[in-house]
Amino acid sequence: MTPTPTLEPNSPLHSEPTSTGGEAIIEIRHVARRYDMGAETIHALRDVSLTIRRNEYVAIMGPSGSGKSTLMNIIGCLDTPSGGDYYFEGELVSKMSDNELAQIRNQQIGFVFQTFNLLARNDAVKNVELPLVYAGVSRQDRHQRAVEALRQVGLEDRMTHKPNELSGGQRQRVAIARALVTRPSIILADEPTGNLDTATGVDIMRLFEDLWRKGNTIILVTHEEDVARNAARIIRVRDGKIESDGPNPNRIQMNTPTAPTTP
Amino acid sequence: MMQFLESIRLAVAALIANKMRGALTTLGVVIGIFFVLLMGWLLTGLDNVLDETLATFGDDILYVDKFNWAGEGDWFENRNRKNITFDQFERVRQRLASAAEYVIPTARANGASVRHGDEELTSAVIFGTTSQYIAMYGGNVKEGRFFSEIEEQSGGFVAVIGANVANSLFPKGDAIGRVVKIQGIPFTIIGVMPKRGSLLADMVDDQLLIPIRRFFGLYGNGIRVVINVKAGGVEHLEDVRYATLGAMREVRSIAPGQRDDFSINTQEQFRKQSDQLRAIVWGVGLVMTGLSLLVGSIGIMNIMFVSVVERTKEIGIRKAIGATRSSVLQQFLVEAILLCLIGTAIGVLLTSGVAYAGAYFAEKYWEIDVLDSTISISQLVLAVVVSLAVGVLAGIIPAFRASRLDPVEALRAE
Repeated sequence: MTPTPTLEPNSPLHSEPTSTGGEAIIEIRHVARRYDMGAETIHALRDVSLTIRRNEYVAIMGPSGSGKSTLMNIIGCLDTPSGGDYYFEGELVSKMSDNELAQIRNQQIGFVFQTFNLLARNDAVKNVELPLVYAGVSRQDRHQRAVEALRQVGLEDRMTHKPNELSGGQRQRVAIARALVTRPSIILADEPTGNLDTATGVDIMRLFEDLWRKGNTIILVTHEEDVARNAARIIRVRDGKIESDGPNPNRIQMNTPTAPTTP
Repeated sequence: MMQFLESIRLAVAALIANKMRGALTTLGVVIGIFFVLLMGWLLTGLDNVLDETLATFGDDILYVDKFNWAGEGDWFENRNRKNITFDQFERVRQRLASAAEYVIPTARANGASVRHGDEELTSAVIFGTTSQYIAMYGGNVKEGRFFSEIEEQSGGFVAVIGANVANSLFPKGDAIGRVVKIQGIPFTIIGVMPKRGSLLADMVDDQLLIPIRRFFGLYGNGIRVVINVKAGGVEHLEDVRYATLGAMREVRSIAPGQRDDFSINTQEQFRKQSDQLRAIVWGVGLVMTGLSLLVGSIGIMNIMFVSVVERTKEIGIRKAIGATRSSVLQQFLVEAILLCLIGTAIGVLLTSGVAYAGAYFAEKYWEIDVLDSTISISQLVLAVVVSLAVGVLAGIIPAFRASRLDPVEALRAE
């Protein structure tokens, strides 16, 4: 079975969460994902099992073609496994209907993408409101919660700006605000610094650290060691299998100012 | 509901982002709706003509003629029937004297030559009748007077002229007392009829009414007579019809068991004729409307497919953050419907303009006052319903395709 990760925080800070105590949010049991490409069958994932608990900070690492993106899509309920079971908050996701999956994505998962994936025509507030629209939240509440989420990521003075009026770092903050606004169980970030310069990337990683300290569960998908080093636990994927899974021995402790250093 | 409002907001935003494309796309719908409404407008005009005709002639009048006015039966058989003669009219009138309010004869000759000095009319209609004509139709002359019973009995050389005739020959309005030559024979004008408008079937405006005895003096007895029988109330119409039928059969010496060799026409037949016209207008209109709406819906469907492809990434994002299939479907369907409604709105504006201008010019230049200058509410409702249907038809397949997109694939799109 999956090794239960025991994460020893290597930081002296008392505020650092200990991730051993939380209940399991994600339980993946012998999950496989196959793609039928005509005569050939591609095994993107073979027999993957892992557990992620509340308030963990996990990096999923692996080179391209390793299966980490497939794993992320399955964790994010964008895709369903060809075999095995996936429990999200105790519910069997792998057998859910399209609509049920949409509901899980909407309410339990906050996505942060490499290319931000904001809607160009909408300003920051409208972008952040979007998940709440699909959750059926009233217009007024929606606005209020979006403003609150933007404040959390330090963008209260950019709320009516459209994505093309924002810097890369600011766009990613809007995307993070959008991920946070439904108060999801996990934040799932796919190469969140991939399109940012180093300094801005560091800002964004500080923001994730901060969010983690405030009790959020964060799953980073990356191929960059520098990014993964921020996480408390690293899962390495190769050839569709988990190569290693354990606490990050080289964790970098970040100072966590919430304000961005780039405009 | 909230998501529905959101869908409308999104659709508006998407359309604003692609104004030109949307405008071109709606062209087919614009034309389709234009035809629907134009057709409705014309039919309303037709109904007005009918109502006005009925109001003018009264709905309790029978027209006994050898022809069937609704075009029923064999036209050649009708044509070969013997004309109703003036003598037959006289005998029918005697038999109906107590049953009907009025029984009068009319006879007409088209393409008569009418001269006054150097002015000549070649398309005038000479109309022979009796002095009771004006009373039977409850009308009055505009100027002068109608001919009297004495003038009628004596076959006087007097004429009452229609408004167009008066305008053509006497533009100064001094027709009364003048002499015109009909087929070279002088007649004194004693009255001018009020203007009727040119859409009515009897063309009174182009007529010169003269005593029927004089008419036969002019044209001989070969011209057929139409016997006008006014029942004196719709409630008597059937009784009078029956009496007329009996009188006619007797006068025409039709043995029991033999078929009538005449027709008793009623206003109902105008209605039947107008129904035929209505069917033609509908037929042509529906084909044109159908074709343009088909083209319109294909255009919209096409543009919706393009829109779905262009916005694959957006669909992926929306699905990733929780949009269900039905909300994506709704989003694109609403957009297609909105496109159609915009086309409809343009079509309505266009038709309103045509209706307004059409009614104005028809009245000003042709004195046709039966066309409405606005589109009726029921036709607007029809247009909106049609456009909703077209929107759904055009949008459903692209919207369905959008809703079925795999979020992982869609997010990968650029």
